[in-house]
Amino acid sequence: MAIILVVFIAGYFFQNYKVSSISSELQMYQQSLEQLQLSASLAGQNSTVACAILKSDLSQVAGQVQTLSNQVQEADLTGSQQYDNLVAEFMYERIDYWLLGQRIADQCRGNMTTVLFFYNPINCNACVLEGNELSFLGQNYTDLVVSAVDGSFNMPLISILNNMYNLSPAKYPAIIINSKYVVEGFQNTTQIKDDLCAYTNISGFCK
Amino acid sequence: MVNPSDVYTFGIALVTLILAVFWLLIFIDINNERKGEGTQRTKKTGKLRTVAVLIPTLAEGGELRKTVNTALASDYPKELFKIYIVLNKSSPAITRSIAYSLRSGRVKVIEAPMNGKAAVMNYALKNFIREELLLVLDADTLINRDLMHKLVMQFKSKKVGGVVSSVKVYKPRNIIEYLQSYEYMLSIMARKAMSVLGGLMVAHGAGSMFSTGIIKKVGYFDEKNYTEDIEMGLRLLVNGYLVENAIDAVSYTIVPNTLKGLVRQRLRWFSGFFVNILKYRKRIMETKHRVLGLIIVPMSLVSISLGIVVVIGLVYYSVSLAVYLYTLALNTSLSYAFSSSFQLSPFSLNTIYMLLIVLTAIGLSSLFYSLRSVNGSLDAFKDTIGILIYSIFYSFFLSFVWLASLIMLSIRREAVGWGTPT
Repeated sequence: MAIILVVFIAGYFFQNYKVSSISSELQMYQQSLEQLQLSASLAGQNSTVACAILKSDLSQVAGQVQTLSNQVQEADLTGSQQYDNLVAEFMYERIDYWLLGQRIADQCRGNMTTVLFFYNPINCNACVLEGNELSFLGQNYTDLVVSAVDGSFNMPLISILNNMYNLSPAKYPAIIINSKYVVEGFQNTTQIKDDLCAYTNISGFCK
Repeated sequence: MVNPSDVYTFGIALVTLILAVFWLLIFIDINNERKGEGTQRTKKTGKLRTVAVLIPTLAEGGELRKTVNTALASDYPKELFKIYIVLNKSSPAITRSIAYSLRSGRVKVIEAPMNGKAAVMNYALKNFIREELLLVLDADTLINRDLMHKLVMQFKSKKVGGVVSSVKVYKPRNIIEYLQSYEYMLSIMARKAMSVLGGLMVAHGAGSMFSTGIIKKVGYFDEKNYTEDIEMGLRLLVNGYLVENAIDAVSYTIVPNTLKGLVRQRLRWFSGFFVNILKYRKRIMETKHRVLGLIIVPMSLVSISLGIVVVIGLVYYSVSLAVYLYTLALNTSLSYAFSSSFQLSPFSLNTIYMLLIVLTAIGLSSLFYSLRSVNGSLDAFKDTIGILIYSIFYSFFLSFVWLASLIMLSIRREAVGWGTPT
């Protein structure tokens, strides 16, 4: 009994540690995003050097997003108020990241593509698979900015996005290319590439 | 909202806790019994009884000679025991030749006019054996010098119908034999636990001793049953007799050294278990020893069922994971598929997993110390690895075989010969 009690107490403290760790990671990410937004504001339109720097910074932020996303997913402290608040905050930041990416893509005019991926974390194996494939593409092609949103999350901003693109959880997974083009249903890597090349021209995999 | 996988994990943690406590209690009990037996060694147990050592043999060769020699080397008074080698009708010439070469004033060779282990044993019992106690040895079983004495000591009351020894694996050489040696050690403790509760229902044929009179009273061995040892243990219990366990009475048996041989043997044993439980299902519930019907048999069936459920779950999960990995690797790369699917991170650790890890560690430790108390000594490194491999792989293998035996029985129902429920 004593051992079980110790484990539960340790579990409680570890839970708090996870929340505080995610919280500080989120703060760092928010700072990086704010810096990048400022940089984007300062850079001129279509400045080659500035665009190269912005793309590079965006890639670094993408890495932070991925790390944070893994931590949030693995922590899985649903039911804890602090955790739920962190998840909501992280969701906002992911949309912010996508908007910033779109802004930089517009500023830099071409050769950058944004993808907003809508998924449902519950009972959607296709979402898991497509999410991993998009992550793979995002890691291997720096001109591709990928952000993911839990479309079933109870948040006004997500409801607005769903309405804007006429989406619902029944249609997930779905991707929005360059804020304009909607592709519903599961797409494997080849199909995603084909979709991206149909609407954009990413160097590296579009012929 | 409660996550189903957390419920499943909590269930496993709870079962692990129960098992950890169970093994600890067994360990404590075994040690207490060893201390008790040490102080009682000088006490008289009353008149020593005559023992018939019955060795049914079919086609054993050199092993038969070893078995007889270890029996002859027993420290039990020579005038009080006799060895009976019973040949099957179709025993080959070489086995007969070895058997007859062992014939002496203390070793009798009987030629049974039929085949089948139970049938030849009954033939010997009905026509030749007059001793009070019957020690059954397989023809590839070796016994310690003090086994007979220790088994006889357990016949303390007229209610004792049988006494079971602790059977271990004889000189394991390859990994299959080593894994079976852990299985046999665990079986010793399981039998100990069952005898403490008064529900030991397996009287194995590698060194179990019976009261000859009681065997005759309950109707001899079942000749239609290919696991007559399990059947006899159950039959004794449902007829109100006791089956005791002498943990320090040690015998050794030669086990299958190939996977095929192991699977065949276990299929036979496990099928036999189900057949016998079904045969005695009504008597088990009616018996005065409620422990059998309320605890032992239900616990056995629950643990077998749990093992089968876990195995099915594992197979389903493994197949799903393999399909997912294949699909992901096809569309991305193999290294990415593995790295994204198997990420070890402290963030995935929650209270339930921590509890599971701690309880598993406690369970394995108590299991290790319990096995050491049974075996006398264990190599800290080699046997820890062995126990881990046993726990992770071999126990799942056994669950597969339980499932296979259940399926086999369901399909071949009539061929097995279910007998009349009694």
